Amino acid sequence: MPYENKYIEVKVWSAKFTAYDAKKLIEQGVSSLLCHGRITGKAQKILNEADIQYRENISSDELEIDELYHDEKGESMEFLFMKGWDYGNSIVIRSQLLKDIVKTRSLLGLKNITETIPEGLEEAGEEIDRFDLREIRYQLAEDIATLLTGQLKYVTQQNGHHDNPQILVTLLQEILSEENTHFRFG
Amino acid sequence: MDEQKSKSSAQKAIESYIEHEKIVHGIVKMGQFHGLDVEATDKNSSQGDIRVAKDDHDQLLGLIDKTIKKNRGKKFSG
Repeated sequence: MPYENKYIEVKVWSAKFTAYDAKKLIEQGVSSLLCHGRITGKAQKILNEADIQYRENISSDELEIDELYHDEKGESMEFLFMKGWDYGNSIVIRSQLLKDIVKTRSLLGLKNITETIPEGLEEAGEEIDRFDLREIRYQLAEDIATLLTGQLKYVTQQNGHHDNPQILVTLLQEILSEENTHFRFG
Repeated sequence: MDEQKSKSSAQKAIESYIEHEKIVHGIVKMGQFHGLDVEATDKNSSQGDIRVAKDDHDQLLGLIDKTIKKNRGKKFSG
């Protein structure tokens, strides 16, 4: 049986889930959503209409985890870039690479801001947490470039295919794009 | 003061990532323990974080609901 006929994919989301996130999820073809944060009313409506099952406010300590096993699978977070209040591209980053990125000097020095979606936009009045990219654009780009150099050295020494450099290049491109003003984690 | 705020923001991002990882592993482990065909995805371009056999999907969601209900009950009863 072909893979697409036998398996379906479930998305795990670690932040508040908005209407925009719901529309994007539908485009990705995901069948269900497990969300650590709250799913907004508008997002729930969109998910219901698309027949996507969901659960919200899930916490790992409610899942009977006796021990955490690390095989680097399933460890991921999504960078969601924003152009003011419009959404731009998003990039999924997994495993050790993500740990290296969140520990960079520029991200460690970054302030999280909670903002209210302004009147006239979808889900006006909802609060979202996001980071202002403009304050750290070039410092973050420099940190990502340093990580990229390290990854390229690793790939050269290992003499094998690895997708981390390409992911970092894509991330760098989004960071340097002046259209992008903020980003969120999903 | 600024430094404290910055640290807590970075900490928030890292904690969010760790929680995501714990939820994925917790659900995969729970499903596999009950004999379901479920595993974490491993591609950066993947649509989702967990891959589950179509036939096992409803059972997996049922297990999640049951487990959360049981553990929330424990939490509230002390």
